Amino acid sequence: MIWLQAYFLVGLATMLTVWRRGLHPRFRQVPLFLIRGDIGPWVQFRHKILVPFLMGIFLCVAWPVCWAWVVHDRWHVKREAKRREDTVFKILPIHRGVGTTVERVEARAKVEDPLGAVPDLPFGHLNGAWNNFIAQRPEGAWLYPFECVWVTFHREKFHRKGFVWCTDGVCGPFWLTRDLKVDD
Amino acid sequence: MTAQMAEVLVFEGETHPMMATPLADYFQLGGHDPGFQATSTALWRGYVGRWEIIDARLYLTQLSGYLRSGAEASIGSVFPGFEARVFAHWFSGTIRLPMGKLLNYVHGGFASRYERDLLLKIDNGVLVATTLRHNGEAPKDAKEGYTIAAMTTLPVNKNTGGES
Repeated sequence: MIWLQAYFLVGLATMLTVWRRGLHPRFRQVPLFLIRGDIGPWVQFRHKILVPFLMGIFLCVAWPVCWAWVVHDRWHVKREAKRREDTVFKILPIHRGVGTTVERVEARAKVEDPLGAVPDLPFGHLNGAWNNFIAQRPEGAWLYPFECVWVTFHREKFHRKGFVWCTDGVCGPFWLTRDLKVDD
Repeated sequence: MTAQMAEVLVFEGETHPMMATPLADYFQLGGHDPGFQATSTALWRGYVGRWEIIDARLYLTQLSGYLRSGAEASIGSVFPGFEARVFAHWFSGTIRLPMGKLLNYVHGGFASRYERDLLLKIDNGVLVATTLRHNGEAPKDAKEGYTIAAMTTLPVNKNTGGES
């Protein structure tokens, strides 16, 4: 019998906790129509007395469900935050090719067109973007090509290729030459 | 959400609505973006490009729209010195050309489905494969061709070059 009393006592404590500060921020918001007060007596009774009373009974009886839900919800939020961090695009050493130089890349990056609709410069119309990338070279960095499949937070896949500046094995500024969505 | 105006592609002598935006890829890869002005909810990107496949290569041949400065946009706004045409060597992907009658209208992006899709696979601006996909048969009274059900026109700050 003492166990049953202890069970309901924890339920009561849970109910009081919810009543005082809410278990979750989303329940702390007061509906706008309650603030305005321009509602009928039945709705007032429902929101101010009936629902809190039923919630109180529910919390006293089924408080483990409530705490399990709170723990799960907080764990889920943490996991999603970590996943968001993990899915930020970054170039890892395994994505890198063999180190190269600006001269070598430029020698192979000419774009030819029989109609002359492209400038005779490395990477053609993207020459400006290439030059911007070269200008971002950190002190003592080496140039590497890279290629990888990037999975976004929304689980979309992109085939990405380009060049990256790396210093002591750490990749820094990069430039994409291909960013193609891959269909599963 | 509003269905978006299509780009235009001339392929094998015929003009098609094109469900791809190679210029967006150009900007994504760091190409010069002059800053376009949205003129309606059906044209958030702010421009319509006319493209052409010539000898299995994708070219931009015309560009219309307005820049945020109020000036009228042209190919030269993005590619100075290349007013006639631009080879889209940066673009790789599949271009969808919807054909036939409307099967299912979706008021967002290029999501509406039509009876057939001609798919052009482009690799670095070069056409490498074409595929015709059949999506089904539309009712007899279904609309023919690419359509947008509704849109809201946005005020445009036009620069008329000093004229009043």
